[in-house]
Amino acid sequence: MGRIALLVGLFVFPAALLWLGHRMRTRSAVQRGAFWGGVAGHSTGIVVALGALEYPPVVWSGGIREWLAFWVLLAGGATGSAIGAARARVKRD
Amino acid sequence: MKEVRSERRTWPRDNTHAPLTPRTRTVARWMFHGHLWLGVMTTALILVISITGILLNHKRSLGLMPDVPNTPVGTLESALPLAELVRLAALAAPEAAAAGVDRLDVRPGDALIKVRFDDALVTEATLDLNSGRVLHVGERNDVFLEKLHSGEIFGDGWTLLSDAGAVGLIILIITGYWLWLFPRSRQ
Repeated sequence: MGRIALLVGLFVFPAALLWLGHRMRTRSAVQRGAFWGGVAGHSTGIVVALGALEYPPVVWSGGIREWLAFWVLLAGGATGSAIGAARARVKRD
Repeated sequence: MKEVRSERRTWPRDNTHAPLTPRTRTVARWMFHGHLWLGVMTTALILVISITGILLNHKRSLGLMPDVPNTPVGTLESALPLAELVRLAALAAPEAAAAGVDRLDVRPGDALIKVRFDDALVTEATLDLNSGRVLHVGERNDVFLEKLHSGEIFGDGWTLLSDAGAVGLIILIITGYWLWLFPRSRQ
């Protein structure tokens, strides 16, 4: 499951963000919020994943490090998108 | 009298080029979108490959690979048998030795042997070939980084992930070069 999350975080989520970022002017405020939140969350996720994958330079054996290495790209991006969309919705209402 | 055409460039530039053919437009669109999509989708992967590559290049100076100095006290002919050296290495690192021996690295020039165990931490014992004295016991962090660099750490067949990054980088170079060069070829 973790490996699938890693692949989705590596390739699918950035592709979805790229699709969402296409023709930004025609997007709604909530979609724009989700886009920028996703960009911020995924970028932060990349930095955290790089640290978790490589430090310490020994193989992970469960625990928070393994979770971060496999899931943080997807979780960071999704959380960022959700927060961005929610903020835009609150601002609109 | 024959008319001589001036080859001098005008300023401001004369932008009256022939219009782009549909095929050229299609190629341009593919190059642009290919560069954009691949660039975004391979960012994290290429960052991991690049960072592990830099760390591997400097593995000795960063202390990721133990550098054990040893002065030879005998010749290769007087070296202890391999089985005896492995037994001594296993005594020095019993927990790691329980996982079995991964490989032996004999360095006749330095009169030492590196016994690498097959444990998760990749423990390695370095011994003198002739006396069997244990010179160093520690982790081989560079082996983990090599596996992460190649994608092997995630399991069998995951080297394709590293291949995908490499192929993506090649395509990025080609499309990037084309995007930079093509507009100039029309000036």
